Amino acid sequence: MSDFRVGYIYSLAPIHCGGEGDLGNILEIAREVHTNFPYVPGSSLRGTLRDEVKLQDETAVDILFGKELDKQGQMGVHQVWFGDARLLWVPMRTMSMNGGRDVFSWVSCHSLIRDHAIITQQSSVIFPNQAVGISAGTYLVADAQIQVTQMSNEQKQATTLAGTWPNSLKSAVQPTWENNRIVLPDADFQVLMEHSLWTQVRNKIQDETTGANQAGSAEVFWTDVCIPRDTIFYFSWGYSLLKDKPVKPEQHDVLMSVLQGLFQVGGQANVGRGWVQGWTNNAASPCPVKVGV
Amino acid sequence: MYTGSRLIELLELQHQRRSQSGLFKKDTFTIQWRAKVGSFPHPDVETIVSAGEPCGAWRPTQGRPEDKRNVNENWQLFRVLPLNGYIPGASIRGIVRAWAKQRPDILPRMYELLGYQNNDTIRAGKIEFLDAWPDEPTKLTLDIVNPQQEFQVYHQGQGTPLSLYTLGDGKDYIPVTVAIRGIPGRATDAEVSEVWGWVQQALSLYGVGSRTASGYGTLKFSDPLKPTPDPDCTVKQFDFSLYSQGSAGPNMQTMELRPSHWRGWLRSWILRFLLGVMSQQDAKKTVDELLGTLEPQTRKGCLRLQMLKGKIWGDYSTDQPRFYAWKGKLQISAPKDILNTIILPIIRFAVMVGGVGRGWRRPLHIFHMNNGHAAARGTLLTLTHKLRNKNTQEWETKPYALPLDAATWTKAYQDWLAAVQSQWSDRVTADNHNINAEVFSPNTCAIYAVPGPDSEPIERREMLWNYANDAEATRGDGMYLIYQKDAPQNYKRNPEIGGNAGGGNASCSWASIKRVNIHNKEEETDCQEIVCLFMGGQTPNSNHVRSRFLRDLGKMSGAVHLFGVQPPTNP
Repeated sequence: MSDFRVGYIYSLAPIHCGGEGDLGNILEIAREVHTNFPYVPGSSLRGTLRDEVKLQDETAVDILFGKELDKQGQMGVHQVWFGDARLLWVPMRTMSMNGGRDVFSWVSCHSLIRDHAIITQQSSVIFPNQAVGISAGTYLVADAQIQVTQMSNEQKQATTLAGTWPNSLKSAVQPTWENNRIVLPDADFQVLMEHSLWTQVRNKIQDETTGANQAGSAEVFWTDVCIPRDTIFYFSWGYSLLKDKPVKPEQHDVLMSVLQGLFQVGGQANVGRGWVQGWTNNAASPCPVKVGV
Repeated sequence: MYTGSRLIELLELQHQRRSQSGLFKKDTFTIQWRAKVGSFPHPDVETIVSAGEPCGAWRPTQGRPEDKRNVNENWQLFRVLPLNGYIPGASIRGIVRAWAKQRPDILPRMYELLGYQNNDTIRAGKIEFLDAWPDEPTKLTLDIVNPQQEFQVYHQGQGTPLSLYTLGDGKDYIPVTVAIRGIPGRATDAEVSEVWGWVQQALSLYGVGSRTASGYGTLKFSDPLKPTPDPDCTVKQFDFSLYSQGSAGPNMQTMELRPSHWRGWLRSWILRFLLGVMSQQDAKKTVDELLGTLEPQTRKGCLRLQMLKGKIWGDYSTDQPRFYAWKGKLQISAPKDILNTIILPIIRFAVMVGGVGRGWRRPLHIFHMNNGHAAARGTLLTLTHKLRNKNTQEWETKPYALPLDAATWTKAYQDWLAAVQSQWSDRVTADNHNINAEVFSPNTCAIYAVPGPDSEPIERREMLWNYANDAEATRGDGMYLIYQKDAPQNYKRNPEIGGNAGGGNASCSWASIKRVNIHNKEEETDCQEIVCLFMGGQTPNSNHVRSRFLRDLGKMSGAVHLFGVQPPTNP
């Protein structure tokens, strides 16, 4: 695949991509089979981008994503593809450092850094089986004490993002991110993803008194689980251009205006869930010359 | 790093860039006091916590998060939680839906624009509600839940105060940005404007979150907006002025006046009245219908109360002993008939015989503790309302009160009773309701106007005592009587009459005394005291201390009987 790019999304609201919850009234989210980490499936990402592009340009959407199945059973072929958006940096807001000041830090783990390094074609680095971070010290999270040693320059290099941050996050987020990152061993990160996600208790109030259910009581209540705000995801994406009617630069520009803007992924959009800021390491128009189908 | 309000800022810009500004609406609403909105699962599984996002660590020195702490311990250890509060979009959407359901002309349109679920059919809406974050990061702060009905009305043991965490600390106004957006391609600008109008109305009328009927979650919109009451409901607004020994919230030493003080005042007075005409069970049921209840079965009431702070708020006297002043507005809304014929008459009686908050059963006066230190005790509550002068058509401010003549008090009660009979004919009984509780009725309480003090003990404008060195000059004859501590009276600190506020086994007084600035011609005093004695199951001619107190009231020089039982004429 010759046109291979990396995209990022930054969550500005909790994200709820529905999964198969089996814990009573806890509304769980989609998780990767091989890691059990929450993620945004590529189909969700693609679906929302398709809808947004369609609003901007009804012709471009069919060229880029392929025509939807019509009544004659015909459908088009896509020219842009998207992989799953995987976690890269998850905010940890409940840490204190050296028993004192609260710190806001992002955490990641070996396998995520490694996989991201592979798709961004950075040289991979072996991380030790202990936490390393931008700032060394003793961090406290609930009952756990984490001894964080200083990241080496090579390790730091392996955690960099490809491309440049979007302007919307440059002043508000990037400086904090640059100074506050910790890479955990996979097993520790897995525990966090099991127990430290964003949750909110919700209920639906009974409208009218019916039988034993009095108006004003909780008709039903449940707990939403979400991927927290301020999470950074990465995803692979690219073009696979057709010889016939390849994507034109102006159609690519429409996609870029969407992909590098705000869009909404996952469920519960009616109550503000799923908003992300997207960006990519390569916003250049695809080059038909290099395309092979 | 705080990115709470970043989404709304960026989304507004994106809508502008894409020429979709009409699909996006945002504005600032200000939390007036505290809001309990949404829920965050507190580790102790019991404490109720408003929605929040973690923003710091639970420190081991503060105890384990899952420990159950009493309010005082939480005040020491967790006055604020490491959680930044916000208002979930789901809560705003929910309140708008609830508002629309009260308005048949809007309801079908609401289903069309916001979506609905009908058994297995789900129809999506066109409008999205975003989370509303404070402009500045705002941690959740400790609050208290302390129901006192059993203690105050039934004179049974005190309840256990519970902790609660809210967005808002009770002092600071908190601006939050509320926003909605129409889904491009599905919603029109006009539809978004229509829903935005509902948001403004619903949030301004109800507030947001839970306990809004008790004054939590009150929001003020940046534009002057007069919300339209629910159909068939009406709102009565009072200006209140309260001079007081000080009321408190989660911390006994931090003085604050809370909407919950008014809520408790209103609830307990409604119960006292209903106990006079119904069985205990029916009285409780009726109070629950009016004000809502949590246990054993949660239900909503039909009465709502909001308190708006005025410019004078928690100011204290320039001299000692310290007293405090709060002035603001109290708004009570309910179905029109219920409010006008049942609730407002009760309020008129309540404000004539007592105050509100801590020390409500005594007039504001100076008291000397056992160690000799002077302390301010009691309250001075005034309610006023605006009435249109029939001749000039001008609005005039009038006291909300009753004149000191027995005929007016009796008629006011009879009118109230007729309204209750008409509303709940199957619950009103003519039984003897003189039970061991504070019951307000002609057969279960006695109300007298008695002379004194000679003149108003405080200088209201200057916030000074007129007689700081003469405690007795701050009291009238009612207070003089209830402070009699020696035999044969034994009234002071007697759980059966004077009550005892100090110590672990506190008990309420069975008499409330309110000072009014009405001249007593017979004794030539500028002020009088209205003494309301609850018989609590005793009869006027018994040997019980309350019956003796009644007889002392009856024979007091210059005393005028206003309402209720009287001592036997030939004891």
